[in-house]
Amino acid sequence: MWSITRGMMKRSRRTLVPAGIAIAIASLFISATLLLGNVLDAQSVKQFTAEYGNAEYSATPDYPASPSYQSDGDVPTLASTGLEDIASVNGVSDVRYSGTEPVIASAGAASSASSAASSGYSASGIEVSTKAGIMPIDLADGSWPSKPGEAALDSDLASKLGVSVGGTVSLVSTAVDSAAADDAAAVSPLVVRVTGLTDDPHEQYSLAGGSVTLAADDIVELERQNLLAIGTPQSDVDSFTHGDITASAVYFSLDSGMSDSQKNDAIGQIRSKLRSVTVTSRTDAADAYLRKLNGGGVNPVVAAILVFAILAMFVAALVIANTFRVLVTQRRRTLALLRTIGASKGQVHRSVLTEGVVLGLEYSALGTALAYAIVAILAAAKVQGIELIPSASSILVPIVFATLITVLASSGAARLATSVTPMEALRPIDATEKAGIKAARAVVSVLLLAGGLALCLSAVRMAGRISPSSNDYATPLLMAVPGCILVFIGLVMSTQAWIPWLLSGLGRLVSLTGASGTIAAANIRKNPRRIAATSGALLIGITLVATVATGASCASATVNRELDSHYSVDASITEVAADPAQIGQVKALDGVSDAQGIAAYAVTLSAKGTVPDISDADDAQSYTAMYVIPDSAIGSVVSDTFGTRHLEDGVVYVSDAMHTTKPNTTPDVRTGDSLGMVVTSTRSDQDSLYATAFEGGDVSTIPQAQTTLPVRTASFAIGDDDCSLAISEGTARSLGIDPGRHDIWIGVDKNADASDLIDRLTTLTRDFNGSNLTGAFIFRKMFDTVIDIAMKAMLALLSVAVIIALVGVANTLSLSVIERQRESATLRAIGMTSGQLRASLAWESVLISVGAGLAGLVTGGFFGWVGAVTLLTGTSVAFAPNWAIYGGIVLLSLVAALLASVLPARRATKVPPVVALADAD
Amino acid sequence: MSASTNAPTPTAGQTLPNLASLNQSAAGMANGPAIQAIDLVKDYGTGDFAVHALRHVNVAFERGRFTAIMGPSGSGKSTLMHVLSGLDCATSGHVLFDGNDITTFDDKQLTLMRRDNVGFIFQSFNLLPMFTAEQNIAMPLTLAGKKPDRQWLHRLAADLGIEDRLSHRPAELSGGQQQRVAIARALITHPHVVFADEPTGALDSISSAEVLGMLRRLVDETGQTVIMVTHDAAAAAYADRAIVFSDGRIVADVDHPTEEGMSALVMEQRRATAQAAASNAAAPNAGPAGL
Ligand SMILES: Nc1ncnc2c1ncn2[C@@H]1O[C@H](COP(=O)(O)OP(=O)(O)OP(=O)(O)O)[C@@H](O)[C@H]1O
Ligand SMILES: [Mg+2]
Repeated sequence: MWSITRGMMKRSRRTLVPAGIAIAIASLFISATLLLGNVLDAQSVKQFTAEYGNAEYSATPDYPASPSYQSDGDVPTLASTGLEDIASVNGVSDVRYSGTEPVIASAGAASSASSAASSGYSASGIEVSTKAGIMPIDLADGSWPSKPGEAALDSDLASKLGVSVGGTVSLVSTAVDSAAADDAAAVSPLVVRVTGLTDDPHEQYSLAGGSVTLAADDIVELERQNLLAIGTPQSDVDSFTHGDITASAVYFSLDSGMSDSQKNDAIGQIRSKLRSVTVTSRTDAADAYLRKLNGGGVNPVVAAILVFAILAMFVAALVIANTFRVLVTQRRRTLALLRTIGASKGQVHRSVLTEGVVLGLEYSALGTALAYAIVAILAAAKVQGIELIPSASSILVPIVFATLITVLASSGAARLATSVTPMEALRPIDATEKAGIKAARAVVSVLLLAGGLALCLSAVRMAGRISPSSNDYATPLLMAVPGCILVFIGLVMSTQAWIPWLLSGLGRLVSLTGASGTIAAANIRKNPRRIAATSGALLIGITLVATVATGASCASATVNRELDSHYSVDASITEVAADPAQIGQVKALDGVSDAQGIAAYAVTLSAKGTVPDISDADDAQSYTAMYVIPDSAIGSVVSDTFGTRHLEDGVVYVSDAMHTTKPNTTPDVRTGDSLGMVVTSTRSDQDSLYATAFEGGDVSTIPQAQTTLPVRTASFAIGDDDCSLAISEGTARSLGIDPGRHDIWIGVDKNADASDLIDRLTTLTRDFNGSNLTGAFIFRKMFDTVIDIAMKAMLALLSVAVIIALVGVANTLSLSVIERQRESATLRAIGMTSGQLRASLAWESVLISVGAGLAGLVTGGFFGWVGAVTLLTGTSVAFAPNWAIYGGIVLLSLVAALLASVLPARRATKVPPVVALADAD
Repeated sequence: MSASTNAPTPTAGQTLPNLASLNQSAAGMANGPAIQAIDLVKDYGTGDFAVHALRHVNVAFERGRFTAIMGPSGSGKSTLMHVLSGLDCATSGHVLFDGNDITTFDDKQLTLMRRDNVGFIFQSFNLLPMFTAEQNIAMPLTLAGKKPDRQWLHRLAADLGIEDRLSHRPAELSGGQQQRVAIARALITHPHVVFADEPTGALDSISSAEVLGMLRRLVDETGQTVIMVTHDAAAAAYADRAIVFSDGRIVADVDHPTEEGMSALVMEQRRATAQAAASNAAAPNAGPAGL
């Protein structure tokens, strides 16, 4: 049977290529993702094990976890833990004590500790390892210190100090800086000669100001300085030795010539000398760290990407299943003949599955090899952060997984093959597929659809009622996600029922365009199963793309609207004269769409909402700014959030944040209430008003107005103050006093680069004396950028599935072309031009793709909206259809459909009509 | 087609009296042969392995005549038909179709010529399974972007006895009915020439007789030019003229063939070919033997 399988496979090699490509793309994706995981893991391990230098082992004190230290309160030392004895164990080749001494380094030989402390830079004193072989930093120049009085300096620190190899540096303990004068005087600086410069590739000491590598005795010397500086008696200081240094991790290596058992003996010996210290090898530590980091599984980033990879594999499975079904249909006669001459059902079944295994193995190996090649090329091209770290999992997982999926996908076809009866060899078969699905499947998908829709809709209803601060704010989302998944599964399960229906509807329209369209529509009707599976694969991809696009644009629109009410002014310059010259300068900046001078009063409000009584200490009062906003400013320098583009005279507009953010001191007023206030020109007037009232003085000399105005609430917020007020120019005139404060409000170009604009504005504002720049637009920009990046990343990941689905379209078309050779030849014989034949295939492709595209858009649009609504509970979510992306999807699926039809069409028209007629006989 | 409007009403039954006045395009042409092959050569492959399917064939087919082409299997009958009808191109030589040399036509011109001037009837019917009988019949016009002349279509259907089968798909028709649909499709465009390659090859003897009778009447009553390839001497007896092919050459040309005469002729040809094959056994490109 195997030889027959091989024979049949050889004949259908070309037929299997597109399915193979689908497998290869999906396994490439998986392999590349796992390779990325290796890189991420390697980078974190490298960062984590940087402290080891080249050391193989670490010995880490358990302090403070160990109970023995907590009882006597003594700090464990290198001697008390036995850490200092490691060096004396036979076979230990190099030891590094990882303790650091905070020091102040200054250039040259300092005369006194205090002068050295005041002129130097802080740094971290570290001890050179006994053989200088396992340092966590790299030697860039010169040599490591080999005796007291020598030091290797971090290159950055050295250049700050202006010293190079051979130079002199003075070191004092940081404690000197804060020591009493006489204690500080007792300390004499440690003067060392620079023997080498070091680099710190993992930035381990950069936060501390860079490292100064010293001999062990000099570290002890710095410890002594520290003790002196904190007033320790000289005798105690003199008796301080290396063993008295506080215990910290010790890194060590064993002789390279040792066998594993010798190493184990040495480690056992070391362990016996240690108290409350854990010895670990670097590889063990790295493994444990990764386990902790990845929670026992794969890297979370990799896991997230793998979800998309699995999706791509699923789409590939649809393509594969389709191919095998067609193959079996094409081979029915051969299979029937085999059955007639004695092949068993099992043999036929195995023959198809074997073909699946071979195909899966072949193309997943190809995909994996490609992933390795691509990563290797990127690594060779020195792309930042990319390296090729081979691993068994990045080879085995894609190959095994893809092969399994291929076999699974071909099992349906294998079953179909066993249903071929020997009789079929003798009588002609009707190859027309039956549309429709099994009753059980129909019932399940209707139930799924109904249940999913119900969940989605109730989630949406609930989201509208729940406030974002409530505890179960996540419930709607937790309902909507399974709801959408149920709907999606229901839709995909029932594609066999509704896609043929949808496409025959579209086909009728296409038939109106002429002969090519008529024939395309008829062909689509002829293979409803195959077409539905092909469209279904594309539907999955496009639905997810549309979901992401819609979700992102809804979220972005909603967040922007929220931002409008929280940051109604993009940017403003306060404490400024706001004269026309300045406004002109601001306006002239790149990225500024408009700038206007806005006047503001300082107002005092009473918590009661009436005109506050300044002299009454019991009347809880608050201060805020009241902006005079000309109509021309609305929509240009302040967001259009007042609900009107014309502020009414005689009304005060109150931010609706007033009664949510500061409930105690601010009045709780709503539209329809009235609000009393004391208005002053400036904050200083307001302050003196208070001061005078407090002292019982005459407040009437201070310019002020008292008024009560009807309230209109609106969702706006200006500057740092959520509770600001706004009035029209007319209202301001009627107050009878002039506003004392002027701001420049700036409307920002939505497409301007935020950080560049901030730089330009900051530079300009520095020239306006005493002014202040506040910019809310940076937040808007930030949100937009985050949403945009998230959306683009997801779209990029989803595109793999879409590409595979498009390969599926080309696949289906070419399978059909082979199958229809005789029909096409007949049509060509009776007068179909090759152009018409090509057009008919293009129409067929367009029908499949655009049908799936439209259905995917509608479903994805719905999912995206539901997602955004339930994610942003409590806020009414703007339904923002992302027309650009929708149009892009339709256009892309159109172009892709046309491209997908190119090769099959070439194949169909290349064959002269006679040959096709002869072949088919 | 415009002629159909002033045509007399058709009479029911198996006669085709009305077709004579309808099929003017075939009947009303100028004199001279409908189609003519001049020194026609068709080789498959090149060099030593080339198969010479047609070896310098010269033949003319007169208008309004029913010609049968006979000969052993592999003698080049189908090849001649394909080259004459513009389905395939010749290696050398010329084909004059209504005086035009179609060997100079490109693919598009050939396609349009076939669509407008040639009708095909195949051994295995070659109807399109996804269309109804009526759609199949109208397909050449659909391809041309024309509306079918409904009167003509229904007359053809009535005369071929498939009027009540028009809405059925090919899978729901018997072989004989399918072949009648194919005949209607071949005639729907009023073609100059109808080519039929073993039109009765897949039919039982009664259906065969019906189909051949229809072709005969078509020629008698409308002056349609019909060229038919057949293996069956009885079928050839329906024709006005029979050409016998062997090894890519015309070896006999008989007017008013009879069944007995044609059988004898073909048997003789087979013997001759078998002998030739036996004596040329070592030659790589010996003509293919008969059955
Ligand atoms: N596409 C082709 N490639 C190579 N050789 C061909 C091709 N088509 C036909 N031939 C050869 O050309 C010769 C004539 O073939 P043709 O089909 O014309 O024979 P035929 O007379 O129609 O036979 P039959 O009665 O069996 O249909 C045969 O030897 C055949 O093998
Ligand atoms: Mg033939």
